Amino acid sequence: MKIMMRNGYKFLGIIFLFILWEFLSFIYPPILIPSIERVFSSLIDLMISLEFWKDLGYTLGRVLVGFGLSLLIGSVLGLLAGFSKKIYEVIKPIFTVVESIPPIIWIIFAVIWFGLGHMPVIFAIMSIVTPIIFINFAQGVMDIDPDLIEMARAFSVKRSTELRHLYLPSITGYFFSSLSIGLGFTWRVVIMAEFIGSMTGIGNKINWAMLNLTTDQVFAYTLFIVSLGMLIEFLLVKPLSNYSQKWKSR
Amino acid sequence: MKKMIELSNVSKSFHSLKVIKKLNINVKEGEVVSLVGPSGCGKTTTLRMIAGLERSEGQIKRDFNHPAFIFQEPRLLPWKTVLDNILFVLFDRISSQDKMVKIATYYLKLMAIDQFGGYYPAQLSGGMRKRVAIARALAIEPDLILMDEPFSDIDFPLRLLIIDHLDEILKKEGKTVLYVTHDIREALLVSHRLYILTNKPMQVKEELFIQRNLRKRGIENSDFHELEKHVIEILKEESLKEFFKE
Repeated sequence: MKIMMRNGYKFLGIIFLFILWEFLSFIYPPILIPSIERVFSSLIDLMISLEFWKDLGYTLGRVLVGFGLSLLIGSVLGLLAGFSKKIYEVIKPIFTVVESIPPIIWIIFAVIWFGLGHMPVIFAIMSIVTPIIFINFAQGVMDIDPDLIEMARAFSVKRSTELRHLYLPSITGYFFSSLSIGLGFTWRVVIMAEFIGSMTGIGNKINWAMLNLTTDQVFAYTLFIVSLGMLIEFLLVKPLSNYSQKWKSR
Repeated sequence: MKKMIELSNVSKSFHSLKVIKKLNINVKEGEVVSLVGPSGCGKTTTLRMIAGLERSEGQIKRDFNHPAFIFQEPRLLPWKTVLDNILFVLFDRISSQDKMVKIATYYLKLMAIDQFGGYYPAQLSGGMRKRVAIARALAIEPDLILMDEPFSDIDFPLRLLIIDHLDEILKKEGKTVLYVTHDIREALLVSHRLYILTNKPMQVKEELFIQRNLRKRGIENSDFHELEKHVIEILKEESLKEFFKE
């Protein structure tokens, strides 16, 4: 009952947003704020065209490659930095610099270096997401309880057993938190990067919709991307995270 | 009886502070030996040196194969159930899963906690967690158990119950134990032999042999109280030294 109430409140917030949107659409012309019905009908129109799915394929492919590479590089460097203070000291300032450069600058650099296409998008995702993954993994390893490590040593537990049953579960929480934050940033960056640095993908289509003054399509693409991001978060990342952390709720 | 542990002139310093100075102690096979001394005198450090978790000067002879450590805190993996916590220390020793579970269950039963095998540590009381830690130590079938004040935060009646129970198991299984505590009564109840230690730098002040019948008759016995008083006097004296050092 309590859980239902809590989720009910969440829905209440979203319903409020939709009411506000509909209300504003009555005040402003459709070119500024199109109505909900208009946007949904536009979304349906888009979804029955093959081009929409092709563009979604491009966007998802870039998300997958950009996020996957960030996860790979960030986790490997993060684990190394977690185990060695010296490596952490060397890598941390590099990521601090990378992180403090606004994403738009990275996109501009990538367009200059690689031209328009997949690369600026993948590069932009990596420049934002890799530092997040790195810091989460490094912190996860550094936060492993030293008393538990000492216990494992005192019982002569093999390093491989220690890694599987002690280190890995210790950093699971950090892994899912980096997955969730990283994916959130990825969605935001991918659209921006495609908007500026690519001739394909949902972001590029939003650019065209803006230039053609078809605001209902801008809204429709946005609604689709936000829903997709939330679906992945709530149907995949959250349940997996809750499952792996079920001991915490006991 | 062979000596399982023998420390000869063992010293230890932390930076410029000499914590242990030429310590000479030994533990023979099948014995329960206690180290009692003022708080912070270096008892835990001694245990850690024996377990190889701390470096030292001097000579430590270790004639044991499977030591188990019972720490002050239970140190259970919070993401594993009680049963899985025991299995964690058995993975590398036993290849058959069935055998592992059988051994773990046996020792959980021995500590009267087998019905909680599927629980997570956070769902147990402090006393229950300690019993799991003891079961984990016994499960590797150690030839030596090193115990570091394992009952310090359990109330006295429960502590007596656990100690009685553990005492029986140790006797039955013929385990060798080196036991660190600041609780004199606890030490007198479980030990065959007791080393009373000085304040920093730690050395042996006195070695006491405790007769079996005295331990058996326990705390209702007047001789027991006499001995307890004697140890308290020595430790009081040692603790005072720390106070008036400045």
